[in-house]
Amino acid sequence: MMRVGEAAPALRVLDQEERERTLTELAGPRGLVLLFYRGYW
Amino acid sequence: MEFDRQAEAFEALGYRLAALSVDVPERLRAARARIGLRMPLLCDVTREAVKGWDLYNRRERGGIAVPATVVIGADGAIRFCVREGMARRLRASELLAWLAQPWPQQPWREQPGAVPGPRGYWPGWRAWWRALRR
Repeated sequence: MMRVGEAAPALRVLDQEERERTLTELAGPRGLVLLFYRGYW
Repeated sequence: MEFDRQAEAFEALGYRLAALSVDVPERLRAARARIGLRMPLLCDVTREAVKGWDLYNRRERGGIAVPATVVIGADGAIRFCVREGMARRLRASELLAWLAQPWPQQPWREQPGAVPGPRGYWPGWRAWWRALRR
């Protein structure tokens, strides 16, 4: 598990529209709340 | 869904929301439309991201994400992270209250009482029904 203060690992994934997204692009002016969930809705 | 309902409050504090699972884009498009979510849903079909973030549960359904909430600051550093479970969830309202504190928030390990953590969660009947239909 990553720790507070560490650099976030790189993230480059597709969104629901199959567009490539990165942390920088997803984040707001102060940051990003990233929710990991189990899926299979 | 609770987080998505509070998206505007997070944006007012300067934070955007995104959710990540190992589902394929078609499934996420359908779920997003059905539930009416606004936040982007990210697809990690290769499981590279969940493995890289050490949030990979290899024991279920061929490998899925471990439920967790992570806040990444604008500098790219992790400011908050908590693993959750089926019956233990972080409340969006508590994270919002913590993020609304004057910058910088106290490190969570130093002030455990002041930092949000997952609480017991009892899914509603719709969630049970969805799970049973899978």
